[in-house]
Amino acid sequence: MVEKRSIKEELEKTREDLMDLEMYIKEFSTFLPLPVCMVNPVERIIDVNKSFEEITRYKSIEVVGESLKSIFSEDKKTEKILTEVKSKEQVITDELTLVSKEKKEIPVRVSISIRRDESGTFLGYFVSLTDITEIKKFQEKLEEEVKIRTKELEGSRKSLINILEDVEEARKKAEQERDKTLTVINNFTDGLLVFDKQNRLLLSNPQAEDFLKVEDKEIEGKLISELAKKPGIKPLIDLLGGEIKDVFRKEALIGENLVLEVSTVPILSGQEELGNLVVLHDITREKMVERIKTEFVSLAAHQLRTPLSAIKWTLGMFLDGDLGKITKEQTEFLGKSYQANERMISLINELLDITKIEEGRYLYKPVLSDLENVVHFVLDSYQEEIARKKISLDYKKPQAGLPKIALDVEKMRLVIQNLLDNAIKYTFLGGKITVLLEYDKNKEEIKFSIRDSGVGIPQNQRFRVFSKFFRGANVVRMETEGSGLGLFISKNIVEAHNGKIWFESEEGKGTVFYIVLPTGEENKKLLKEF
Amino acid sequence: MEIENKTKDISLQKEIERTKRIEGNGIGAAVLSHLHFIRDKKGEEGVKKVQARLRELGYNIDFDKIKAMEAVPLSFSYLVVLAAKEIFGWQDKDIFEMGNNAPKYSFVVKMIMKYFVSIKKMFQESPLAWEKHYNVGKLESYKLNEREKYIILRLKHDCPPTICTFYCGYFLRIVQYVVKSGKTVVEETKCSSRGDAYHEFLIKWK
Repeated sequence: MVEKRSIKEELEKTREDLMDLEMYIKEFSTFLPLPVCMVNPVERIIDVNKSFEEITRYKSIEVVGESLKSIFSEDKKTEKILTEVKSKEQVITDELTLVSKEKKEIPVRVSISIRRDESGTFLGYFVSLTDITEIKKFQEKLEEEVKIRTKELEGSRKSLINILEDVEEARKKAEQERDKTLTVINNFTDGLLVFDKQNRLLLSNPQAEDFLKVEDKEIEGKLISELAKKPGIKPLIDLLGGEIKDVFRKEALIGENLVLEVSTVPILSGQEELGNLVVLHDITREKMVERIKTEFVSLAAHQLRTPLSAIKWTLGMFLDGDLGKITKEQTEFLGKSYQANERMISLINELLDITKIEEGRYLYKPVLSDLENVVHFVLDSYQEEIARKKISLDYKKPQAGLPKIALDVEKMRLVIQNLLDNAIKYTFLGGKITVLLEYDKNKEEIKFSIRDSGVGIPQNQRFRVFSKFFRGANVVRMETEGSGLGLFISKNIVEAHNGKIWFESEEGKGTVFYIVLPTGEENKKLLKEF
Repeated sequence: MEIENKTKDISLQKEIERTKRIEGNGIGAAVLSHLHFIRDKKGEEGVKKVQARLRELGYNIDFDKIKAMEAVPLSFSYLVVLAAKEIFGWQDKDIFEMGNNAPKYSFVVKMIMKYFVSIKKMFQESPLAWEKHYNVGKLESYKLNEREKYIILRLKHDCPPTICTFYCGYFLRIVQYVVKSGKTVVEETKCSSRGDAYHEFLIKWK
């Protein structure tokens, strides 16, 4: 039989249980590492645990009864969190700054939940704190690093902006320069065509479009091969070739009346070739003037040659005694007049040759011949003069002989004669002349050279050597005879044979003239052409 | 708040003698709160001195054996306060502080605080709380004016003047727990020691 406890015993037992419970809560609270406090509905702290005392440095007695807001630096935020906890009925976690007893600010993560009794009456809040000083420090360090990096990036951004500004400024300058260049190009009196590396037309100026009777949109961006299909441009493209070869002052007849002098200039950027500039210079008027002048010279020469022939014939008759016997003195004077008349006839003939060259009528008749024979003939005819000037002549030719080539013998003889005549004239008494004939089978060319030990050609006048009526200043002083037409004629004759003529000279030491004539296909073509 | 030293002219010995005659019991939690305060202020040595003085006064109750929910003579509880005042030469302000801090130490008060969720609830529940923990006297919630922000509590119980000061602090703390205002004042407007029929405590807040 179980003995029932008295009311007093029951009460005593309940008290013991209650005290055990107090002890349990006290122990639990003491050992709980998380700082916690209980807050009543009017937000006053009514109990704290040991960890709470440690983090706040307040003893329980000092902080219990105080407002929860009093331990944080953010009143409004604390109020807001509490309101939110109450309205949402859920645990809210946020960050606040705890102000300890020593006024030290400690960043804490605060979790707040609501307290209600079994009947649902609102009793207040449970508040827990987590010290996040280390996390904050790390966060601040991170933020500092981010700030530093941001600053660096800001610096980089500024540098980039500066660079962009510089680039923009450079771009504006480049645009201004381009505009200037375009203005110059557009207003240039010569026609200009700019081709890229692929021979595509990039740019044409209004003058070029006017010459070629086209509009820019018709031609720009097109390949040279496509441009060749346009009738107005075809003569120009024929001259330039499919790959735009080097052209210097070549003439192109566009339409019936327009003559353009065409030159190409490579456009370079350092070593890299970017394309070609084609310059079209209108020489129609110059050509017309030149033609009129040539016609005049031709007419004048013809008119002069008739009386000069009559004088030659009359003087010849006097000198031959056909008109009676004349004294020695008369013979001497008449002889000088005859020689002077001969020189005049020779000059007139040369002038006529030039007019023929300029009119394109200087036709020559190429036949297969041996250049050696031509040279030999000329050398023979000058033996007397060479001996008179006591010049040492050295003549070398290949043992095996030279191949026959298409030559206008008469004209080529004139070339060799001009070169030898100059060499003798401008070499002092007792000087030396070397004539050399060579054959290069691989290059398929015959090379003729004549070296003298004469006065040479002044440096500043060399570019005019093949011009009409050119005579070097130093040879004019020597009072030697000469029309200044020989080398002009010679150059035209050599080039008509598809050959090349040039010279090397040193003033006071002598000059070497070279002629190269092709022996291969280039030469054979001549036979077909005539 | 400023605490006037009203009991300076009252003989402590007479108060002690008067207190020894008070009948009835209270819960041990009240004594434990007093000891807690003394320990905080004067350390364990201070507690021992008070224990010794109580023995001199004829109370052989061992402080270490007091349990929060056990009944202890109310006179014993009051004499702990008076002995501390005597030994440490405390003034009324110290006694007021002791009373004001007592609810903070008390596990029982913490428990009953669940009922004091507002000034109105506190006004309603306080007499019951007294009744639960004391078997003498009566606490009456006389008036609450929330608009004008004051409450009047009346304690019908014979206690010496020093204990009146203790209760001033105590009741003020209870009100401080339930009003948000940081400025609260208490005044004992009537006192049985002065010939009134009861003690009357007027507590105001702003």
